[in-house]
Amino acid sequence: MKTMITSSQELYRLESAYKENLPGLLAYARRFVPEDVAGDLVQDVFVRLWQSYRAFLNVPEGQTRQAYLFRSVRNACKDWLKHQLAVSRYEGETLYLMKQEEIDFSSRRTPREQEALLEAVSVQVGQLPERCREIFIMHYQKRMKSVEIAEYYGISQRTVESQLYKALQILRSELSEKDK
Amino acid sequence: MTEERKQSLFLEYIDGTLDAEGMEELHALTEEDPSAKEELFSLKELADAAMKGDEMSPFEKDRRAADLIRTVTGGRTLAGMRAREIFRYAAVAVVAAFLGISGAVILRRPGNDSMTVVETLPGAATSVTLPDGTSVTLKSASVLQYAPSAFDRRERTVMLDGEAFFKVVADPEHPFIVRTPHQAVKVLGTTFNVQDFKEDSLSTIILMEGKVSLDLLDTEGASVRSLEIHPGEKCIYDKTTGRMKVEKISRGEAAQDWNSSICYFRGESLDRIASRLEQYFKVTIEVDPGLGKEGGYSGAVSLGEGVERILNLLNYDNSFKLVMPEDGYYLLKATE
Repeated sequence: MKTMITSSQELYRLESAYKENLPGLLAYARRFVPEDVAGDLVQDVFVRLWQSYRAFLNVPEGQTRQAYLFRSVRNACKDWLKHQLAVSRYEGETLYLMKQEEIDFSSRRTPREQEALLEAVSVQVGQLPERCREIFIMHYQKRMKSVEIAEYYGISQRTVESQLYKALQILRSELSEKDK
Repeated sequence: MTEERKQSLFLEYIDGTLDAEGMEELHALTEEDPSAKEELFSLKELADAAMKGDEMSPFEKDRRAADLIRTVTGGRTLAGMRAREIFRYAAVAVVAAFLGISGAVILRRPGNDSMTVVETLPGAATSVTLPDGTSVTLKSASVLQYAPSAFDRRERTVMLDGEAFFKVVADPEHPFIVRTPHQAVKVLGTTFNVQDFKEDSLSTIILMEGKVSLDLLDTEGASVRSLEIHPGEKCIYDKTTGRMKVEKISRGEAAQDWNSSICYFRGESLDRIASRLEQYFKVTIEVDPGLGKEGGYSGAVSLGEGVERILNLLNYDNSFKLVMPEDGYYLLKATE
């Protein structure tokens, strides 16, 4: 049997760094890769950290550390997409291409800015016209399908969709106003 | 492409429901018009931000963290590592006992992540007050651990191997969580008893007041079942069969003194148990030399059952023959 001597102090630090950053990293990865893959990739980042860059655990919790972790997860996702592209031949090829572009697009924001966006979106959602807001929340937060929302209000699915689209466009223009 | 077509392609891409054909169409559009690409990804980013995907239950977080630790340590869990460390401390505890410090020993490890470890010796019990005011009566041969630095921050988590009686101070903001090798018990403020010795095949939780939600963990640390128990109910989990049942507790059970009438043992040899029973019942118990050294008896018996019944309980697998040549004299003979 292989004996590995590790200080459990270090393990505790690994555990707490993981718990601290897991929800954000997972949410980030899920934007580009399937749910189960996201969990594995995030875990792999920490496993590699443990194996080859344990000194990282001494970096205090903060922007540097967070940025490093997000970058690592981003690279892991990119590698995964690249691999899928290589093995998939035709099936889903375009999706992987799109996701690669999307992940590159996402890198223009730092994790800190991403957090700020989250805040800003939740504020702006509150400012949407009433019906528009309700539909937006039902779909994106309560995960109701647009057909279910259509049934609930007794309106057409097409109306639901245009409300969702409108909501996203309003958010985009409001938030880009703010950026300026 | 019509605005309407673009709208539905965008929405389906955002939802992840776009089929291959639609994907081609969308890809063609975004290749042709970089501003459409920019628009699509911005909208997707906003929808993702609105989804607030970064909420996660503490149990889920614990489960994933346990998984990571197992992976990096090659199959071991942090709880297992902790157990090892406690083993070292247990030796210290025994020495302390000889010096005349009875019951529990509180040990603190240096450093920021220090864990407070409270361990009771067999036959002893002790009371501990946690930083939040919660009182814990730690029963015989049990280990309770918590990290004082992290205790209050989000949730109040303690780890238990053994048995303890908790009176939890209510605090809806910070759930109180008792983790044992097989279960996680989450409460807000309540009175309950948890018994889960690592080597014991049964674990029980008895609830006196309040409400307890119970997550049953599988060997991987994942939650496989969760349920709620109510005051006056007892949940018994059989770790070997995986069966779990909830039953009403008897009046006697509800009224019992949790420290006096029950004899606990944990991975002990027949010799050791026999000598304890001799003390309790003022009888003579002789154990065949071939049997006595075998360890591995864990459990709890009510002393009210009487010595004969307890000896029969110990003989559940017919590993010995109970002979009673005269009153107050018991002989445990090896079976061939």
